[in-house]
Amino acid sequence: MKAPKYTDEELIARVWDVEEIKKVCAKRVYYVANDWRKKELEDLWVSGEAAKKTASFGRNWGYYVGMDAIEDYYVNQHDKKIEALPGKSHGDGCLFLHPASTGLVYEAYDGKTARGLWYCISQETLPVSESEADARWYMEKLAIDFLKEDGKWKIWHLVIATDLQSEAGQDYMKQKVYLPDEENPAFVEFGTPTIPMLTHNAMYNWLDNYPAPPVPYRTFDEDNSYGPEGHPDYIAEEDR
Amino acid sequence: MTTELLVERWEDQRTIKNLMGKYVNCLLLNRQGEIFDGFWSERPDVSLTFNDGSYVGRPAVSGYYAAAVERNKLSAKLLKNRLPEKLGGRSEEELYGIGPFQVKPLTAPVIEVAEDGQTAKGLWFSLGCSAEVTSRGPEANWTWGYFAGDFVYEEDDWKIWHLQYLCDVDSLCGQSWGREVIPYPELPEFAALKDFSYPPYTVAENVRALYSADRPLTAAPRIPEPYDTFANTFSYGKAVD
Repeated sequence: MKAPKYTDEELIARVWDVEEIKKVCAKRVYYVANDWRKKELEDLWVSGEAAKKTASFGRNWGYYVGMDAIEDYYVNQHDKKIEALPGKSHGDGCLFLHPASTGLVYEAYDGKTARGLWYCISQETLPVSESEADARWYMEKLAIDFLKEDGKWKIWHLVIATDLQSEAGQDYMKQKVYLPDEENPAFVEFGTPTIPMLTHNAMYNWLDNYPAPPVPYRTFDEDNSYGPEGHPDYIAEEDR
Repeated sequence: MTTELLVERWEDQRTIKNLMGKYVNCLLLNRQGEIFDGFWSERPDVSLTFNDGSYVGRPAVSGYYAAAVERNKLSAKLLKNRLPEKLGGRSEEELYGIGPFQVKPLTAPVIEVAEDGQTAKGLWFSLGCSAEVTSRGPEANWTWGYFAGDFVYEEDDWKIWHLQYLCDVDSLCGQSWGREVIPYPELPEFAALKDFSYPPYTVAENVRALYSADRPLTAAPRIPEPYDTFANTFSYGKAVD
C-alpha cells in the first residue's frame, strides 16, 4: 500500500503522533506497576460514548467489551482479589511489572487511529503469607488499537496474549508450564469475559500469530483490529 | 508549536534516549570511568540516587564512579589469582572489566522536554540482570528497577543533572524473590571484596525498599508531566540542606 504524499507539517505531526502513542503505552507500564487500574481507564482509555461501547480488553480466553464490562473485570474484580490476599493494606507484597519493549506502531494514513504491538517480559508477584510470595514470569504480547480523541491518543482495544507463564526461581524444564485452565493464574484472573473464545493458544504459541503485528493501513477496519471482530475465529453474535 | 520547534523537540527526545542508551552501555562494558566526564552536567548540584541513599555534588557523584572502577580492578585481580592458568599471563589493563556484567536494558521511556528547552525529565523501566564478583564469588542477580532523570541542556548538548536508579528486585537468579533467598557461601579467595566499600552516601536514607512479601505496594517514581520551566515541576534530584 503506497503512503500518501504528506507535507513537512503533516510528516512531523505524524512523527509526533507515534511518539505520543508510544508514550501512552509506556505510561501504562507505570500505571500497572502502581496498580492504578481505575486511573488507567480514566486517563489512558477512550472516553467518547461510541468508543466506550466498542472498547475491548482481550486475553487468551476472550474479550471484555465495553468500558463498563472492562472496569468490572479490570478494576472491581481485581480489587476484590487483591483485598483477599494476606497483608494489612491493599497491595502489600504485590508486584506488577509488565515493561513493554520492542514497539511496532503504525498510524493510519487518515491519522484517526493507530495500531501497536509490544513484547513484555513480565512478572507478577502476589503474597501467599506475610513472609512469602508466589513470583511468576509472564511472557506476553501486548497489542493495542489507539483512537485519537480531541487530539489525544487513547487506548481503544487492548490484547494481552500470554505465551507462557512459569514460577520464578524454579527450573523451567521441571515445571508444568502449560497448566490446565483452572490451575492457570492468568485464566483464573480473567474470569468470564463478554466474549469467551480461545484467542491465543499458548500450547502452540506462535502458530496462531495472534495478535499479529500491525501493517501500514489506510483507515480503521474492525475486521482488521485488535478488537474481537479482528480475530480470525470471531463469530458475530447473530451467527453464534 | 511551529514545525521547526516540533522537529527540535523530537531531536531533544532522541538525544536524551541516546544519552541514557550510552549510559547503560557504559555499565555493560564496565566503562564507569567514562560516565561522569562524558555524560554529567557541569552544575554543582548534580545528584545520583540509589535505593539506600544519594551522592550529591560533583565530587561525590564522580567519586562513586571512580570507586566502581577500583572495584572492577579488584574483581579482575581476584579472578586472575583464582584462574591463573587462564588469566595469569595478562596485564591489569588487559584484564580490566573481566567479571562484572551489568545489563540494564531500558524500556517504556516517558520523556518530557520543558517548553523553554533548557531541561527535560525522563523515566524508564529496566528489566536488568547483574553478574557481580562478590565475596561469595561470581553471582548473578535479577535487577528490576527504574531509571528516572532530570536532564539539562548545556553547551549544545543534553547532560544528566539528577539520576535515580531504584530497584524493586535485586535478588539472586535461580531463586524466587518471593521466598527466602539462600546466599552462596563465602569464599576465602574472594574475601578481599568484603573489605571493599563504595564511598559513603552524602545522604544515607531508605529511598525505596526492595521487594519483600510484606512491603507495601510501592509506586514507581513519579511519571514526568509536561512543564514549561524546571521551577514549575518536581525534581528527581536530592538537595543537601
